[in-house]
Amino acid sequence: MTHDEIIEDLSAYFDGQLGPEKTIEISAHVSSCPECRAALDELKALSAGVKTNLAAAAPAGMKERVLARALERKKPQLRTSTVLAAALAVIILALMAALAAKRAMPVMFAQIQGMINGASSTLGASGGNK
Amino acid sequence: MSPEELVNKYSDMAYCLALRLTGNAADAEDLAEDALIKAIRGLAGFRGDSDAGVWLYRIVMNCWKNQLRSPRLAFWRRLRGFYSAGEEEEPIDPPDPSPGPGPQLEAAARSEAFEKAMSSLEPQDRAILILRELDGRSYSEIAEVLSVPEGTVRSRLSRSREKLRGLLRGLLEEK
Repeated sequence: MTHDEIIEDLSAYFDGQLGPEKTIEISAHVSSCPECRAALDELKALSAGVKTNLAAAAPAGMKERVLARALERKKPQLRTSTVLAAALAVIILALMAALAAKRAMPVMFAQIQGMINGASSTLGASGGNK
Repeated sequence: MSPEELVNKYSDMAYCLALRLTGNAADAEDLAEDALIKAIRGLAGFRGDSDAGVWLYRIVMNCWKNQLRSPRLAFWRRLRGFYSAGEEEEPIDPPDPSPGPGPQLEAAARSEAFEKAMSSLEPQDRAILILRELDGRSYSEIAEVLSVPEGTVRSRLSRSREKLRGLLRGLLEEK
């Protein structure tokens, strides 16, 4: 490996994420290369600095809040689709009941029809709502 | 794993990750909470193929990506981008050792310098660095969290460190 290739791999070498062959090769190079040693020292200092300065604990009360919210029993909620389906079912039932009633009680329906016709002709004769 | 174990073991790191993705404490708290709640509710379906932490961090990432698609947040991001567009990245000066600010002040300045340097990275690069440095995750685990190839983790981490070394050189040499 050339010096430039080693510089590129220094971060992964520092993390111990290279295979054994590359690790041995880079170790040998670093021991005799002041520039790579300095770069490695900076990586160590950076790592320590990140740990010291950028670690953060979860805000107070967050754990309790999360557990309370996650484990609370879900309240049953009516979805729009459920409401629409229920309304449709009611309308269908009402129509079916009306049809069944018309078949079962034709006399009553004829009377109702007559009342409606009478009312409409009365309105027609009086000229409607002028 | 019980919900309590999951929360006790991973809340801090989930929050840290969320903080680096969102860039502010309020959004990070919301994101970490949403992700933890989703994880707890889906705990029964967790087969344990991967580490529970990796699984949870993936949920954090997915929740964050979903938030990014929200039109309301997109507006604020564009606004922030508009105001920060002209800012240039310059090496950050180390805290002045003379006339000697108290150790607490110096630590605060050092912390601020690291925060500033971190904010110069892309959110996903910040996540990679944090998962590596604060949680000791391997490249393959980080790749799984971010759903990217392992080589991408390796190259992006190397690039991020290079950039931070450039920005924080004065501070790093002090040690």
